[in-house]
Amino acid sequence: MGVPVLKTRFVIGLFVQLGLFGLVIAPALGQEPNDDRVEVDITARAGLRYDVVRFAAKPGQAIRIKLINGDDMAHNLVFTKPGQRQAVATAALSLGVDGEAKNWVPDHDAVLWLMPVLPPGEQHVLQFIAPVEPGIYPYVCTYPGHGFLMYGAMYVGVSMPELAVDQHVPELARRGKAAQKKFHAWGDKRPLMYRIFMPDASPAAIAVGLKHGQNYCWDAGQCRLRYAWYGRFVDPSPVWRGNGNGLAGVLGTKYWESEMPGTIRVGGGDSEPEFLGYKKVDGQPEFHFRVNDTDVYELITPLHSIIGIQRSFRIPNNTQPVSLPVGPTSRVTFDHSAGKLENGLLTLSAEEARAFTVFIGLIK
Amino acid sequence: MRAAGIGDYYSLENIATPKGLDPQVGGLDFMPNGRLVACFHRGEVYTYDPGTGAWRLFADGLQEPLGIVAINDREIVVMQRPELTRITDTDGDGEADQYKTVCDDFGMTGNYHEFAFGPARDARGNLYVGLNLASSGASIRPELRGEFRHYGLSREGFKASSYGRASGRMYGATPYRGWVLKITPKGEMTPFAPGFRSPNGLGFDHDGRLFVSDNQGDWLGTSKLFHVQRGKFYGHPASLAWTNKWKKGRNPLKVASAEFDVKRTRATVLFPHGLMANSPTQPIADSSGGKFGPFAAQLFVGEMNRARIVRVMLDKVAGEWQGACVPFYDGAGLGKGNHRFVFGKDGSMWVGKTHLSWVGGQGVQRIKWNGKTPMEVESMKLLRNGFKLTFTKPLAKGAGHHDHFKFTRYYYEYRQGYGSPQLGTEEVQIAGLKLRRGDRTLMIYLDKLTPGYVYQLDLNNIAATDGSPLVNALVCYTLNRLTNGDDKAPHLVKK
Repeated sequence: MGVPVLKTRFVIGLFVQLGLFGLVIAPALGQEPNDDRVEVDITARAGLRYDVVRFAAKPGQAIRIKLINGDDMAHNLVFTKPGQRQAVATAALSLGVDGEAKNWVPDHDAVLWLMPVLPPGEQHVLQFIAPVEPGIYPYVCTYPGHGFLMYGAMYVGVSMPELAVDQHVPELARRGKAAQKKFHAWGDKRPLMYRIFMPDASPAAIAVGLKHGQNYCWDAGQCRLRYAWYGRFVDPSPVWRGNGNGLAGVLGTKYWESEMPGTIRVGGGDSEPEFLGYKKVDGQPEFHFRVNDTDVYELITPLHSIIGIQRSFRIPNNTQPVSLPVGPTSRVTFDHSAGKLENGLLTLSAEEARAFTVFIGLIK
Repeated sequence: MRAAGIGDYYSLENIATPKGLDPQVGGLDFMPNGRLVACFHRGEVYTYDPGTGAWRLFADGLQEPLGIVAINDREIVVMQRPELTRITDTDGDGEADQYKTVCDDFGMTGNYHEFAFGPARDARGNLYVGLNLASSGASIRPELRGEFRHYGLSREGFKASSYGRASGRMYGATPYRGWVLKITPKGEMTPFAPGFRSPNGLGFDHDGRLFVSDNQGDWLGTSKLFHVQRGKFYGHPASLAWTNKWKKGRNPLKVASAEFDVKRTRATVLFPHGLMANSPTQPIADSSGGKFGPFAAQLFVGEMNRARIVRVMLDKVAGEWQGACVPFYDGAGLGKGNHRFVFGKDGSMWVGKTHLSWVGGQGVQRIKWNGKTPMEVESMKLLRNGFKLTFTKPLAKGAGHHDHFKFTRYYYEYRQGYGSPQLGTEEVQIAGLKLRRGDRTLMIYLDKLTPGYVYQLDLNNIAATDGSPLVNALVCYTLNRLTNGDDKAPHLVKK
């Protein structure tokens, strides 16, 4: 392109000022709706997505965005400078304890306009003036972990490509209706589970979609949790559209994967675990299996405050020491209610192991 | 004479299924309370009230369930890809909450063709399931369940693009693929019988004998129905790797067919390919006690590839079962993909359809008899020198003549290759005819009876005394043995 670098920098600087002004003063001006104003209602939906993933505006045009939180978790919406979506979303991850107070919006040069964090069911209006510099301005939920999936783009004075090839919207939106397809007459409501061929697991895999966009793969062939991801559930169509010669697709971001083989050990010996089924607890499976002649139960539930899962184990009347490979713990928030953790192996006394809990969360 | 159709004697109703459901049916049964219970392709189990037409979700999340048995009003047993599962609504809210693994003591490679069929339940509550071989249309996956064992390839070898040349067209690489397993009510599993390729259909006849269908392909010249007994071998050798007697590593693809031919048990009934059935499914005994027409206690077998349900007429000859097949229901509103069956208390037959991306159909249909007796061949028995045909109604005058009957015979070779053409085809001359028993029974005496042939009978221009024309005019009798017990058929194996 022949645009001089200096000029570009100058114009961006200008619109940033205008934009920030817009954030502060536009609501105060009490602008009446008119033909020139762009009004967009964006609803946050389950599975970490906005229902509107892109819209167009003219340079300098008035914009009115209403964000409606139609999900069961909290979300915000932040506009950034072109190309800065990931940088802003990543910066939000390191806010730590300050995050709540800052609406999970980092102090970052690329932030243009923002909505506060909205609890489920609430809505908020944001008004501003579109930049005069044409460009593709991302919007993103900076609530920890959401930004990798939950975003869209405002096209200012730039023509939009076909949705299917638009790299500024999430992959699922690009894939269009096929990805949004309802697979059941009963509505795909979470929690839900499929026994289905999954990547990185044995053929007897189970995929579970919990509330709050939490998902995991549990392996009934090996009686152990294989990995966890957040976002949407799975795309079963590679398996279901034909005779089963395919793997379900994980629709989200894997944040934890067990890299240690083997399931929980009860006492000595390396006997093969025996899968015995599951009972639904509030729609969530509590797995039952037997290790070394001992019944073990594992129930996985979603965490609420952060992206993550809670693994609740029961070994009723246990009389033997227990060890559980918990895999990599350095890249996630990891906690446990009892026992000692060393090199990815949690060891518990017989008594401790009768009921204990392990937490795996996305944010360190 | 006007062409007769089965639709003159039976009515067919399409049962609406829930909107949004992929209505490919894997299994059908009735609960004691009269609710139909059905499992579907995407893992759901629904119950259906035939009175109100209302469907209700009972269970979900299953992996390609392909068979169902209702235990009581709250409990079912389902065969799904990875296991046999007992599914119970423990709190009585109409929706299952407990899924107990009854048996998963068999291997999986993740190959798409490893379907699991059944269960069929015997009078003692034992359950029988059938495990498909893997297909060389795909390899095995990086992670397996169960021990890996293959006669021609290492696990590494399965990663090579040329794996299909050494795997065998249908292959087994984990325990008990190609077997029928028996599972006691307590969940104890016994490998029951090897030798199957794609046993998509297990069922008991009226007298408690287990029958299993298998699909034309490698080692199956044409599709078959077997009377299955413990320890016998049913012809596809891939499964033999999991028998005690099989030498580890010995490659069945390099063994002469004659060795297997001596060991195998021949099919009770052959379904001539392209003529009778190309992809047979569940055998089901007519348990209607006559409410479904004149075939009480006989077996029906579904067919995927055409709009047909086949009827089987068994014949005990020299202590073993063999028999004939004849179309029962052809067209008249019936679609393809006739996969699973159950009889209702009123004697109607419920049909569940599937396709799984092959030729087939979907949805549920219900067939009712209207009380009028169709003119049909009711039974076919081998005589020392011919066959005894019994019709459902007396034959019209003049029917007992040569012109109305044409016998052709042929055989299917037992070989490693995919399918077999009809070989040795020749017309068999009729030596004589004799009417018996109020003109309902006809003896047909033949020139030549040889074990190891299908005797195909084409009936032409036959009617009953009441004027009703014969509905189904093609009957194929599988002659394994003669009345004197002679079953020698060396021509079945290529020299």
